Amino acid sequence: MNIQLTRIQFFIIIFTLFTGFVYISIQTPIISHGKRSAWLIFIASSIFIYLLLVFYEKTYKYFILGKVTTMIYHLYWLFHLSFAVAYSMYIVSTWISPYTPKIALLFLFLLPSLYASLSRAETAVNVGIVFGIFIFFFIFFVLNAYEDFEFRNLLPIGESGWKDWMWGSLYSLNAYRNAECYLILRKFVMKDEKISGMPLFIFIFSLFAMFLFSILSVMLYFSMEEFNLISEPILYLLHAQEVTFVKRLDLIFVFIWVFITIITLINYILVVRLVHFQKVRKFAKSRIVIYHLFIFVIAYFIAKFESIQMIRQYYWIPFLVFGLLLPILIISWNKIRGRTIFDSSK
Amino acid sequence: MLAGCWDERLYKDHTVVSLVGIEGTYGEMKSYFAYPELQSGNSEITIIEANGIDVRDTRLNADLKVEQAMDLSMMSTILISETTAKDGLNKYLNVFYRDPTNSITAFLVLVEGNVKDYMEASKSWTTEAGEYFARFIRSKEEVSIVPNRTIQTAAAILYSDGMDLVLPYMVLKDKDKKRPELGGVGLFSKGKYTGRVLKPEQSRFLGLLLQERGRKIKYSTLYNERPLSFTILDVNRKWKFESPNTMKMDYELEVELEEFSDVGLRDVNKISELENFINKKITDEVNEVIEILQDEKCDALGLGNFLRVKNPQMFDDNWHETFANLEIQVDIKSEILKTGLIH
Repeated sequence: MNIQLTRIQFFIIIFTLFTGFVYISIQTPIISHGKRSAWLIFIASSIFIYLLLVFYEKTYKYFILGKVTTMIYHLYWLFHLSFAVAYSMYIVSTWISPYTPKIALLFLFLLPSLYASLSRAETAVNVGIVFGIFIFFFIFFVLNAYEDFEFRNLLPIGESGWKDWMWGSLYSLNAYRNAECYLILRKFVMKDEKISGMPLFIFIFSLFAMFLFSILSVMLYFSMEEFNLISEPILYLLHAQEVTFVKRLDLIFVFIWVFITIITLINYILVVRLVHFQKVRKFAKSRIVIYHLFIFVIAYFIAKFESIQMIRQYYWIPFLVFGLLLPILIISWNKIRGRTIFDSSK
Repeated sequence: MLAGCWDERLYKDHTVVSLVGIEGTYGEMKSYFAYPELQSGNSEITIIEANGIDVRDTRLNADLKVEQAMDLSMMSTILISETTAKDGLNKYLNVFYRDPTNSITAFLVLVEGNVKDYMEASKSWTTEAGEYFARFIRSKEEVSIVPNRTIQTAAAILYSDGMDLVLPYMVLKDKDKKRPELGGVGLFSKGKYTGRVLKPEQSRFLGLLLQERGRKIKYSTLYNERPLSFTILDVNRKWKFESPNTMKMDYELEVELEEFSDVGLRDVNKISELENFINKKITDEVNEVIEILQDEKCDALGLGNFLRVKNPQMFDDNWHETFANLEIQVDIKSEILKTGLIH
């Protein structure tokens, strides 16, 4: 399987992958661990991520997945996607559809994804553009709360100790947990498209700005103690807004977020397909259907409060292992051996 | 759209409650729910009363008394009795925070006496019971007599240890008990109602001290035995810790004269004389309010949050004691910007 991405398509896919699943959930762990310095910790972590992606941009050609590493990533992605679907179901059933059966919600998320995955790859590539409209709505609605913003909530930054900084950083880095997708998709960008330098900086900065905007908004709006109670503060903030045209603003956002989750799922499965179908394989369509069935079953069993809370508690690990250590190990190993993706594709 | 048939919520199947009243404490709670009902062709307010061990229980028991399921998604106001508020407000509001179908933009209002009287009073109004109170509170917010406190904005304060809550306080004084009026704002300390109320003429200066955006403060007094009325159009403040135990609060006010039955405002000296008078008058009023707040250990100004930023080492669990003994120096400087159509 092969695709050709323009620079814009590449950035849109990565933007969706980075923000899609996590955007409504990252704020609480970062703030409850980082305390009043959470915003500063997030800025520091984002600088690290920028440097990491600059490094990945220079070394992506050494990121070659072997049999073992492919297997490891496949297992991780299967679990990660199942968890993302389970979490999304949990959110939908908490906020808007408490009585809709889990199976119906699973179909809601997985049928569009299955359709897009069975279609041509271009379908998955271009669908992310919907994200742009969402950003405008989101910023507009959140700023509606500006009258209740308390700027003193951001200070004093000295209140957070080293443990707060450490955990705050781990959860902040986790906001960028799909960093390995950058390495996988990068080789499909057209050769004459420039990524390094300013384009990469603008991309990371927009991503960072979106995340920081959400963190600052909820920090300004809620008192620090409320983060021990509220797990999706962005939704709660919108829930607390009163506008003339609709009673529950949060519902609109949850609807939009469901679309974004489906788009992210489609894009993520595209990444899985690109890795899995690097070699020509038989029964390609059946394999995609079976993959969706696996997600269906796993998500069905973990979509409950206890499991989701437990997994979320340890969800700082994926970035460290699969987004940072494993890619650096693979890159270093292949660099020592002098192998690049261009050699391996031959 | 996503709900499908499982989560369908039709108007015809629900009793849409606009006003809720709660009184009592855990174990002996009583709640009231007001909703419009068609009776002999006219829409009239019906009140449902229910007992229970907590707020949720009273709601479940109230459900047994109506032919449709009760829906609080359009609730505009919650009336709270003094006994409930004195027991600590947060625990009674938990059910409103937790359920996504509840409205958390509803106003919180403290009431003197029995909550039932206020609920019954709503029967004589033509508007929705909850909306009546909501409109009442909004109009008082405009002139800074009460601060904006909905379920959510109150929660942000109740969960903060550097600020205390104040809520609109209503009373029923008329003989027929049909028209509630504003008695001022009730003061809270550490999440519990203190039992002390700032009268409306005092609470407007709390609004001034809080410097809420877009609010106007109206004031009338006598100047040389002649009426003087003015509106404070805008407030700029500067807070500073002069020493660990002394707080300096500087306020600059932009004033518009509304009534002044004297002539001679073309004279610049006369204007500055009037400004000095306003400065002194407002300073006295503000000092009186601060004294009451300190007596009740009610940090409604959020000085704790300010201190936490400026002098974090001074802020601790004992903040309310520190606040009560703080020396607060207020300096008011007003500037008359407008005098209306005449001098």
